[in-house]
Amino acid sequence: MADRPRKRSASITLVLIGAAALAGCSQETPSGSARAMYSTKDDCLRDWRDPAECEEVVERDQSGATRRSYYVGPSRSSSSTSRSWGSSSSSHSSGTVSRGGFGSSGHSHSSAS
Amino acid sequence: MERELRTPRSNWREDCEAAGFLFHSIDGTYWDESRAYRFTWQEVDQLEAAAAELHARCLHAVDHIVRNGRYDQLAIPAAWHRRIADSWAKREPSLYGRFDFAFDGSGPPKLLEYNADTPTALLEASVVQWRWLEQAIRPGNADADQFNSLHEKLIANWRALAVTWSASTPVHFTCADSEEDRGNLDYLRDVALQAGVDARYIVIDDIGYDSANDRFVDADNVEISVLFKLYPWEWMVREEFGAHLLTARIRVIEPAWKMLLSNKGILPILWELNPDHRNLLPAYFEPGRIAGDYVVKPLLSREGENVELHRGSETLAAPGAYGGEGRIWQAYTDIPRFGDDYATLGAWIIGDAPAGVGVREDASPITRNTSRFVPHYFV
Repeated sequence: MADRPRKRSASITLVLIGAAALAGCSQETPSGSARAMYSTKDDCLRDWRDPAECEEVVERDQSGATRRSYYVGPSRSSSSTSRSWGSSSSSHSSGTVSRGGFGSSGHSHSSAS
Repeated sequence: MERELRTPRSNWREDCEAAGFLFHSIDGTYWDESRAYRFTWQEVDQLEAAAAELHARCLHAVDHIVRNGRYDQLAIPAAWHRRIADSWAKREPSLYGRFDFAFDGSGPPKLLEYNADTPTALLEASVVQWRWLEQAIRPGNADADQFNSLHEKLIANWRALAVTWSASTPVHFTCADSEEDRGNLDYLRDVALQAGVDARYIVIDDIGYDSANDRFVDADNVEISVLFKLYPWEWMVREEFGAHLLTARIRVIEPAWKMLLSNKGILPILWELNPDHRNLLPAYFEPGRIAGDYVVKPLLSREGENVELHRGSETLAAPGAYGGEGRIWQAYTDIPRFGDDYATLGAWIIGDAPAGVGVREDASPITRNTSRFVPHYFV
């Protein structure tokens, strides 16, 4: 084995998803809906713009000391699907722009394969 | 290739979630490290070689279909024939695909199908099983390895893609409203960000079409000039905005020519072009040409829906809503069984290179979206 080329990744870093990355990842809330996680408030505001949408979360260890803190965006439940990450939370439709022309097939199937 | 029964890590849930893998228990048990597959390096070399070989055969088949105009056999709408041919003529680059193999180590891997457009189970194959290897296997066996360089190859390929558009161009990422799809999409967005791509998420219903300028826009009316969609081409072309993709200035990943490979009709064409190939099963567009057991697959089925397995006097049929566009007939091959479970292998192609495997287990020989993901290693 020792002289054979390695076939696994040397290291794996995540910057968007995953608790370790904390630069804008997903988490499950107690209600089961997913929320975006950010390491700083600025990162959160870049996606959501409204300070009221960016909630600070402080995790503490058993002694009460701060283990880590981060920010989460609003709940990504099915009721919030009109929102888009990485862009404004409000759309500016003009007279020539129409929406909703993609997605109808996905409402009844997963696209996974 | 052997299956080992193992004690799961005590923190496996927390570790999955730390990797952004929140759907580890979707539909009950999905990630399952109470067992693992152990391969030999010779078996892994075989899988890697088969994936490379079939990737080359697939590209040759795409060229053949385009040159000979065999779109109708794949139920591709006529309006899309030229678009696909243009996409192929430009060799618009592809990011990824996943071959599903029947393989137990005793003979060559046999291609069951190619998920060339919207393959999933990527986060678990790339990140989650790698973390399992590092935590559960390598501390006791430093020589153990895993066929999995997906992460670094994805980043490298996003870098290669990104140089084909201007540096200030954002790439919009979209998918259906599904937890699993969203998890895979977020991971793809993660590796794209690491490659320097301005990767933005957009809910698919929010994609706008600006008729005055014949262009697609996001929720801020910013032009979508590059769209990564974890959403099947065959759905997009048939939806309301589908026709606008023919005229608007937009680059779509996966490229349009991948429509030919994600279609089950590629299986009889591969067999026709490569008869008796060791990694292929006989397949035809017509019934009655296979002596013995066979499987019927809709051209556009997903997640095993409407697949019929005819074995002796027994018929096993998966329910679903597919099959209207046509079907193909493929020779049956045994899916390896370990205990009460059937195991299939998903062999990944990133860019043009084999990059890893994932193993799925199911109580049924038809792999479905509920099939469990089981990690692997090799020695």
